[in-house]
Amino acid sequence: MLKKIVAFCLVISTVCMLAACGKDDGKDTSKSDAKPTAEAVEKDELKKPVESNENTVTEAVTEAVTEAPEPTDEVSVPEADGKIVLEYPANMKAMGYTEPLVLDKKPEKVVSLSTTPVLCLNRLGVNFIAVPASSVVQWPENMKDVTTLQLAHNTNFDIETVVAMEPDLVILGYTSADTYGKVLTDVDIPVYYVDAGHTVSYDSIKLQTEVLINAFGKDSEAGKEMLKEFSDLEDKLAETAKKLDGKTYMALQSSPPSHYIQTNGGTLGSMADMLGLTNVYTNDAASMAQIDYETAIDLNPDIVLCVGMSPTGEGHKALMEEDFANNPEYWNSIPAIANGDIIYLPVYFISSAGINVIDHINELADIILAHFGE
Amino acid sequence: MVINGEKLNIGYGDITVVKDMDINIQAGKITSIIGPNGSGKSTVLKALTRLLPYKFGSVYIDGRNLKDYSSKELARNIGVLPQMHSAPPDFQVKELVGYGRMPYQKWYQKNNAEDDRIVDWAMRSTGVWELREKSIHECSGGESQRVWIATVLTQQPEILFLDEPTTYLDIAHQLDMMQLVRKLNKENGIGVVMVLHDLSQALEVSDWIVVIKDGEKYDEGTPENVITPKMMKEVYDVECDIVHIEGREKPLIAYREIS
Amino acid sequence: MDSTKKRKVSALRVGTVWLILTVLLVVLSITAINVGSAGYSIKQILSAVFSSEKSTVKVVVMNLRLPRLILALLIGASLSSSGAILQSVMRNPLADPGTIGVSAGAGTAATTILLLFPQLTGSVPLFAFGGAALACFLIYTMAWKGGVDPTRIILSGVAINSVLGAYNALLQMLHSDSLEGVLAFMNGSLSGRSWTQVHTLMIYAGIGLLLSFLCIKSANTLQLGDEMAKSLGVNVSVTRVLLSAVSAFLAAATVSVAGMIGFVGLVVPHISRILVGSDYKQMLPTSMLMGSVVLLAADTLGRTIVPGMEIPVGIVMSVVGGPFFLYLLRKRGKMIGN
Repeated sequence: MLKKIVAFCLVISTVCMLAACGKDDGKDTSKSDAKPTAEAVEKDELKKPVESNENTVTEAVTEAVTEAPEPTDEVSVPEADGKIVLEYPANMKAMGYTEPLVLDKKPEKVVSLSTTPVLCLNRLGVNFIAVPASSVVQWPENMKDVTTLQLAHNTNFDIETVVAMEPDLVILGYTSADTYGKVLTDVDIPVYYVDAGHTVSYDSIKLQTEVLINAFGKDSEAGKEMLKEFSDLEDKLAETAKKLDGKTYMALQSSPPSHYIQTNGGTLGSMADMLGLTNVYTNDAASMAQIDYETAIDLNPDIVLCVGMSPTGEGHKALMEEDFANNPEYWNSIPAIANGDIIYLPVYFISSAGINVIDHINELADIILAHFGE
Repeated sequence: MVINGEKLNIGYGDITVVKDMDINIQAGKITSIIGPNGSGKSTVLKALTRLLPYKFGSVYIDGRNLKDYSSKELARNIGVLPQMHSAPPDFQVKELVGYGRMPYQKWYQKNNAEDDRIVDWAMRSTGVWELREKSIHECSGGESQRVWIATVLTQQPEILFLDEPTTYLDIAHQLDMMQLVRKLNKENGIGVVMVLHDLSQALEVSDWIVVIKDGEKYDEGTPENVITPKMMKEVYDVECDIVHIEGREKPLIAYREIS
Repeated sequence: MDSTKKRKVSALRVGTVWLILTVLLVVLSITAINVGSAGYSIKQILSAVFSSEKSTVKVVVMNLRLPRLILALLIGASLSSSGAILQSVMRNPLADPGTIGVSAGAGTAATTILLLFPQLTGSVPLFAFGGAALACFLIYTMAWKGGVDPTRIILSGVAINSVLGAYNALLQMLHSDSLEGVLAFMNGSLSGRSWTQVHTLMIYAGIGLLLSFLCIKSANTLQLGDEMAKSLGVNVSVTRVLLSAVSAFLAAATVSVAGMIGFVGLVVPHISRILVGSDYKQMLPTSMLMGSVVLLAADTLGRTIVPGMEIPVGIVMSVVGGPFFLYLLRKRGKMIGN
């Protein structure tokens, strides 16, 4: 009986640790998790209000003027007095972050506990003293002396490490507002919240980038470059959508032998949607669910997109093919798989680290167009 | 068959319970081992039957060292009914008795016709043949004890070792048991070694008695010679008289009255 | 079931039980083929299966439902057989293969491979089996002192299970982002399993179940108590180890194919004992039959009760088995057996 109690306690502690991990994914990169959560649903809703603002935002930037046409837009601040004003993008405002964070001067010791804004801020010349360690992105050369923090398991991360660094700005995923955020504000360290959670959508990243450009590098070359990359991508996407119009896809996220199928709310799914493809699978409850083998066989997409934890596409291909070999009759009944209309993608398609989502979508577009011989 | 134990030192863990014991068992006789609680009687029995390893000394069966016998070989020559035994209550009597044939079989063999014949014989000899279809829990204490004896009998041993066979039985069944022991000895020539608490029974039934006190042999001999008021006083610290009654072969022990 | 009046077990009774179980088995099997998230009608299924042309219906039935059915039957029989044999070794009707470290060992091996060496994922079943065997070996070695007795085995099992459990938890904590595969394993699931696994298990389970039948006599003898068994010429310690090995083998085989499924090995032999008695000659085959029925029912339930979602069979068993286990505990005093 003692053993059962011990085992029971072990199970409970393991479950608690896992549950905590799933809940507190804020500081990590925009990784998608196996369990569909409410946050993922929220992301779907985020995308819609944003689209209406898109045009006005672009306008505001090209005008290079402080005033924005609509009050909901970001306001750029005259830098004459040296203050840095960090506004919140529309999606964050919708969650209650309405007051901008004002810093008296440009921060020199920035710590980011979220991977999403790092690349953008780095290009804007912001000086980091610590960023998260990421398995998905290689931080650039100029950041090689920056401390990397092991945030892989959030609930056990020691926030004191950050406090001890005496940062003048900490960037934090909003999901950790009640935990780490509170600790930091209690010791008067300025905290700026960014979107976080299982999937951070393209639109969210774009909005965030624009806000950061306005705060740190309005009119800067780097800022203009980044905005151009966004608009170039969107042009390309419009082109791609014409070519891929009508084609359907299935997005599988797998750790063989378990397979999860994504809706267009999942990271890979949303990217594919942006390319103009249509997802064969819909689910109102979650952006990702464990594959139901019996119904999946009837879905019949034109192409299957596979992603997993392998750093390379070939690596994932090897694992998937090994798993397919366990039940070839089944998998070959999905015509796309039997015909080789299947693309294997590396792990950074599960999650992206901020602005490099542009590169990834570009890459995906190229891969898929190449596959269809366009 | 003769069993000789020489200079036996037997114990549990670091504790030695029996020291320097010499004991001889003769075939065909009924030997009783008696002594107060904790004197080491059961320990001696277990050592002789290899249920407990002894530390020093040696045991010879017919001149051959006990350690040289394989488990099955030993089980074919001697049968032991330990004090603690249990069977799932829903076992059938004849099923249980049948297990006595195991020393004669390979692990995959079942009971054949010959085995069944022996099982039947054992059940009849112990008077449990009528109970053969019943399950253990349906038998009374005395009946089940006889079933166990039948099981051991099925091993066809030359010597039967019984560790306190009557301790948990009522008087009627105790006498019954002694009757059975006597019968098995007289009619089938099976030697019996018993550890007994009841001295009257020991007196009546035994051919030879060994008295153990504090892990050492105090005395051994025929019942009349061994069970004396002096022995009772020195070993059990009990006052008694040995009384002879006309018409009875063996004397009676008359304990001091409880005042 | 009348626990106060223990009834004599007759051949008729045993025969009746077996007949009922067999009928249940057939009915459940047919049901399992017919139900699923793709709602095919019986006519559809029959026409698809017997026609020579390919169709999605045929693929679903022949490559998803049928192998899964066979797997459930084999696993159910293996686990309950494993539990039954172990209960005779431990002389305790509340023993199950988890006690001797099979689950912990397999889980540790699987977790290590999935999290630290993901390139070897395809070989997880093999490693799981090896892990189970190793853990078992460790436990028995630690428990050996001139022989093995149940108390020492259980205590040794507690120690090893604790250590392995802590290691597992630590590993999972450090790699919390890649846990999907591990969780799928730990929960015991038949999802997506197919003929490959069936072929593997058929060999292991076939050998194991055959060996179980050879254990019947020894298992019965151990029930008579150590001293009695010894006096009948049985080498008690060696027998214990051999029986445990068979039990571990069966359990490890199932863990390597389907992950960890609990309670079957505990609960099924117990119910068998109530129905047909403690004689392994009847109890073991009954356990095997009943195990198959129970696991098949649990798996079929798990994949149909919530439309579009599959509850892993390990979880269904825990949900049902847990309360049942508590119920057994309460009635323990009146139970047949030790």
